[in-house]
Amino acid sequence: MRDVTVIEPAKGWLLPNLREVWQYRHVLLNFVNRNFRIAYRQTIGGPIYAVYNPFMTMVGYTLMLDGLFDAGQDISIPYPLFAFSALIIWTLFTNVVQNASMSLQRNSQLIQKIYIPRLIFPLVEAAMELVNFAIASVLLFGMMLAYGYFPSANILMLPVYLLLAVGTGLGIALIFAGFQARFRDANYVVQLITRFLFFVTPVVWVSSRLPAPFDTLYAYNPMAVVVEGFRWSLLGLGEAPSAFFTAFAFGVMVVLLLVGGLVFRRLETTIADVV
Amino acid sequence: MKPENAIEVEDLTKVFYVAATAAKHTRGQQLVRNLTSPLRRLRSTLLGQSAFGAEVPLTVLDRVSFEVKKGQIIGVIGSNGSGKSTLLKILSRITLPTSGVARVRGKVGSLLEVGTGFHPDLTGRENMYMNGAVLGMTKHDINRRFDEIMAFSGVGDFIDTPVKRYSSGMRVRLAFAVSAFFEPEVLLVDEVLSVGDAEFQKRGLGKMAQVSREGRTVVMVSHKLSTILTHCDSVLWINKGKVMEFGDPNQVVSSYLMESSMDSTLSEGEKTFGNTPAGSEYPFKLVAMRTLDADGNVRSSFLSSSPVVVEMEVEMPEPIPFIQIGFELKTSEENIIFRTYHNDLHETLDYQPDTQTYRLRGVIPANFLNKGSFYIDPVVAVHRRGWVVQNVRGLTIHIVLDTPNRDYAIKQRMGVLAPMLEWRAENEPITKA
Repeated sequence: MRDVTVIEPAKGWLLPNLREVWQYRHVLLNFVNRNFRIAYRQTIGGPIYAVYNPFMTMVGYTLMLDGLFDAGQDISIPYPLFAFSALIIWTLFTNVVQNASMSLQRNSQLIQKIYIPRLIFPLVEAAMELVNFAIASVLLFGMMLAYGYFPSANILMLPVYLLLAVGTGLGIALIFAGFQARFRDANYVVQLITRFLFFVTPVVWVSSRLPAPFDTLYAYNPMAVVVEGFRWSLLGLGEAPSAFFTAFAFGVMVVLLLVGGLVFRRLETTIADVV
Repeated sequence: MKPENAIEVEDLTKVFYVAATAAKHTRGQQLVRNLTSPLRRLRSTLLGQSAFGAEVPLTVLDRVSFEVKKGQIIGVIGSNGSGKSTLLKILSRITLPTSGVARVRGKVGSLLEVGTGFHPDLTGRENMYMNGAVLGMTKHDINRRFDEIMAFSGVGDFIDTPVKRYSSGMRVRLAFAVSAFFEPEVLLVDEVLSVGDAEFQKRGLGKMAQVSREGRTVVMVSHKLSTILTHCDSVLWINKGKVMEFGDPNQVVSSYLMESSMDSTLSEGEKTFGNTPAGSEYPFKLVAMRTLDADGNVRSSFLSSSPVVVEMEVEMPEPIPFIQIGFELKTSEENIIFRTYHNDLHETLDYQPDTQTYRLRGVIPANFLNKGSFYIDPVVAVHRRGWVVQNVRGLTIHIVLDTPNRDYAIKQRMGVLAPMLEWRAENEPITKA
């Protein structure tokens, strides 16, 4: 019978039930809505804080790398635009990883008192970051106009890179979210991973300066595809990442999401007992 | 699953792993254990055990089986730690069983806490939608009932004020109001009605009764036996994770009371009064009140078939002429059933210069009270002169209807009292009892 819920012990390794998540979509929207209201309540600046972090990072790197070391000499666009465009999509990725992997622990109160598909919690974080990204994009557009750049037809490819950024971030986060609920030190591992990825991804540095063999090796990093693809689609900088590396990045994303889904489902079954 | 059932539970078992007391290891062994413990933790986590390394299993639910028909209200009773809440958590899918299976028909809603998802910075209105959403209501559901929810909560103009500025009473009322209009087919409720004032509890319980009349099923955990008795169709008694009894409320509650009467931890049945009456012209102090069973054990729950002994401990340094010490028995609606004094039949107070304290006992006879809760409030007066103690809240007792001499149990009887009277056939001579 369709309307009967069967409650049984967890068996083996399964993927999260996406149909159930879909049934709870209004809860997801409510959470996103609520978190935004909370985040900017009793602040003066409001949504400015969504762009504050990438913007200040951009200012810092512009002063340091461009000002001191002349990092911008090899690129055809102004360095602030070069850095800020990459920083906002990087921030999207890294915040998804960070916040989604913390989401079960943060919502432990709720998890122990009510049943909602647990996957909702990381998804809420991802959705929130997408909204933050949209706010930051407005600033980026402003900067582009100020520097006299207009997007070309390349912008049609932009959703591909967005999907890659969010999907890869979510995949990593799903692997760690369950562990984080049990062991608070999982977060240090997550931080280590994002820190490491930041340095191997051409966010603030220019990939054309890499010596062989690193000039091809670096592109196996899916985030390199995301960042360079994003810059290309929006600012027309350089060339689009090759089909091979794009496909490879998608492969990595799918594997991460599958592994993340399996681990998440596995750990969520006992989550209410241990958070 | 049988078509008439809303819930079927079969051999449900839940085992938690709790940290064991450290086993004895030599220093070398301990060092190796400490170094490898991250690996063991990781392994036990992936194997689906709960938290840390050395653990012992604790069986919280032990092969629990029962069935609930559609439209019934089921009460779950048992002492603390018996597994009641774990059962509700499994039925609401918050946690999974270790073995066994439970089947629930229809949309399940659980109220394990009042105001789940409430956030202090959000306004009453915003929290209403959020709380509704986590319970499973859509925005449309809430909009449809908005006026009713508002009226039920009595929050009024504060609806657009952040909840952190609410009084705790208002917060509870708003939270409960949302839940009250939540209409799942199976509702699981854990002790949430114990918050809020008496008036609000009554409305909440009324709401639940209505829910079941509409054909929905309710499973409620409560420590208030009177609530269970008035509202439930069946009662499930769990002790240490095992089902002790399941069935007729009066039957199960009386077995539960019999069992727990041996367990003195349940005894409330006593109240000490600090300085009562304060500033009286008479040398009189009410020290304490107690309710005792026939064996002299202090308790607050009684079977209707046993007497309730009311003990009043008073301090009187010198005799007070014409003093009357007694109590009033009231219904839970504060109607006085009777008032009685220590000298109703004859003087029971002999002045004792040495101790100056007295324990007076009045007995409410067996087979007299009906089921429910009653107040026993102290009253002390000096005849024709005035009150010494009045309007003081004394004790609350709970009575479970029990008719042991009958072949069939009486479930309930109209009225405040349920006396078993002496009945005689017309031609039988009336003898003195």
